[in-house]
Amino acid sequence: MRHVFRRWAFAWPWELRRGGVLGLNGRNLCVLPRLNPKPLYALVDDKLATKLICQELGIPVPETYAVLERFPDIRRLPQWVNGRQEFVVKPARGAGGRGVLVVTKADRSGWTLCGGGRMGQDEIRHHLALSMSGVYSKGGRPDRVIIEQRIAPHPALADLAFGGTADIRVLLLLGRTAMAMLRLPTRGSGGLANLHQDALGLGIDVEAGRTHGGIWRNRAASIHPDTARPLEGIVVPHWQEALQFAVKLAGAIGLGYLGVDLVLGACGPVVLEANGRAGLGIQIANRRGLLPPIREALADGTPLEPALPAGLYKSLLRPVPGNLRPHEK
Amino acid sequence: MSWGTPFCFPQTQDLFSAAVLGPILNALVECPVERNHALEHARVAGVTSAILAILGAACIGLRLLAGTGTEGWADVLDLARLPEATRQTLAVLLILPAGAAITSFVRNVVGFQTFGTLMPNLLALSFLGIGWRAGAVVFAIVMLVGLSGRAVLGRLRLLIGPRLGLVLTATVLCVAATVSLAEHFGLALWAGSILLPMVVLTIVIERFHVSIEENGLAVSMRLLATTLAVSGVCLALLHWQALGRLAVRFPEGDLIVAGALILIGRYDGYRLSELWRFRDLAGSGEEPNK
Repeated sequence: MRHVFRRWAFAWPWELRRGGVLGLNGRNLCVLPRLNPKPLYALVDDKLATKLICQELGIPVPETYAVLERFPDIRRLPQWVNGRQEFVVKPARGAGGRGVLVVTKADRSGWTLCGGGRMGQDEIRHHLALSMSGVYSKGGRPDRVIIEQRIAPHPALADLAFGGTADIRVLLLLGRTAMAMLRLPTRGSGGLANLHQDALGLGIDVEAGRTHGGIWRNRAASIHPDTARPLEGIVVPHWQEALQFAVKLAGAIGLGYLGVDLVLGACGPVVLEANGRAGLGIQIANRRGLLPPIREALADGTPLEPALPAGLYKSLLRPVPGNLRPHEK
Repeated sequence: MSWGTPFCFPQTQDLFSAAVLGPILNALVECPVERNHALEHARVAGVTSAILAILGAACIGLRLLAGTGTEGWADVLDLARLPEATRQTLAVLLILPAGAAITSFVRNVVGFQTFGTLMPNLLALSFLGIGWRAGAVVFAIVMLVGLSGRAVLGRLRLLIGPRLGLVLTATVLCVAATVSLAEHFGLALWAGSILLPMVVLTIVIERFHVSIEENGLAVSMRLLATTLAVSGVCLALLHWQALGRLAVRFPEGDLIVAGALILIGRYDGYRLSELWRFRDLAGSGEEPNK
């Protein structure tokens, strides 16, 4: 416990202000209303919509195996899964990684999850039914469940992530990269790479694609809590390509404050999802406040122009049930 | 000119300025670099809040000067002339906004989340009728039944709607049994007063269960504890006889509360919890506006 008290137990507001730290109230009151037009949230809140935009732009996304829309679809699950061993199950509107299952081995009796858990058939059905009834979606809205390809992690990062896959969060302000963070699952996070769920976040130097220091449970960390490996100086493979995808996607979505989540596969980065209300922990991971870049972006920022045909946006902004079922195309 | 604030417009940055300087700063200070709609919002909010507060205070002041019992328009504002029962109900109603202000203060300035903004108020209101002791008993029963019911029903793998219905059924049965038992042992418990607490507690239980599903048990317990603590404060306010008399005598005091609510709603400084959360960032980074 000593190391907790060796440093400050808290920071004074003026210290944070000097450090340019953006707080939650500041984000909600000043940043989001200015940078993020409300109707555009529909493009990122539904992961299927984001996916469609990515496909339109030629950005690689995990292959969609199936989309479960109604309860009867659950019964056809074996047909959807189609003998595949590895896949990811996620609610289309789930926030913060909730309700996501990473399946490493599927057989007749159930699924083995990333991180070692095991689910029986009835447990799987229950989870799918809960997801579809909207337990994991914002405001409890009925939801769809996506079954998609599990991206095999890049060998350079595979041994860093404890029982899961590392992913990259790139934060973009008005379409330009502001900060980035590498998120590593830990023993406590159960294979998931969300900071809320005990994952480790490493700040990335945007130009060099190299990590410096990290954050774990809201505390600055310099070694991996499970493997004790130093967290500084890790070179992220395919970094420029990842940035390029993030910038392209942010330009098309049109949200000025946007977090793009990518995972590094063996043959390059793949976009998982985007988040219009990206969390503020990235500041701790980078040991740097977000306000200077935000001020800069506001000072000389040109508003984002939609980069896709208007018809596509129109159809995405009010999703018709069934129009986003790639498996039926 | 710079206030060292995140943006170029004047901000209510910390607790002190939020409470004291906020309206003045927001109303008076010109934006040094650029005008934008956020600045307009901040100023409009500051001005509105100041007007409301001044209006309320002026009204109270004028009526104090005029003295009680004066005939005329001012008498309409004095609810103390109403019959006793009406007055007590109105006293409770008039204090509710203060409870809402406290809850939003805890949520947005302190940074502890509760189950909804109005829930602590509702909880306090429902416990007001039966007293906090009986309230604690009812609460304990509902929580116990709700949680154990959850453990049992978890095995049935039901959807969340019917599951909550079942929890409600079990709770209702338990409360009925308690009332009946109390009657048997000679304790008169008016079942009617339990109606409101039951409904409110069932909503709390529902929120609690959904939150366990979404955030896990630890976070949900913390949420519940915060909700209870805040509703305890609200209950203390509602119980405060002197405050009730004051609220009935000067109902325009709620205008001041409304002004405070607007200020809290425009508070874009750091939450108290963020002073802890971002403590590793103290003094890091470069100077803003450089």
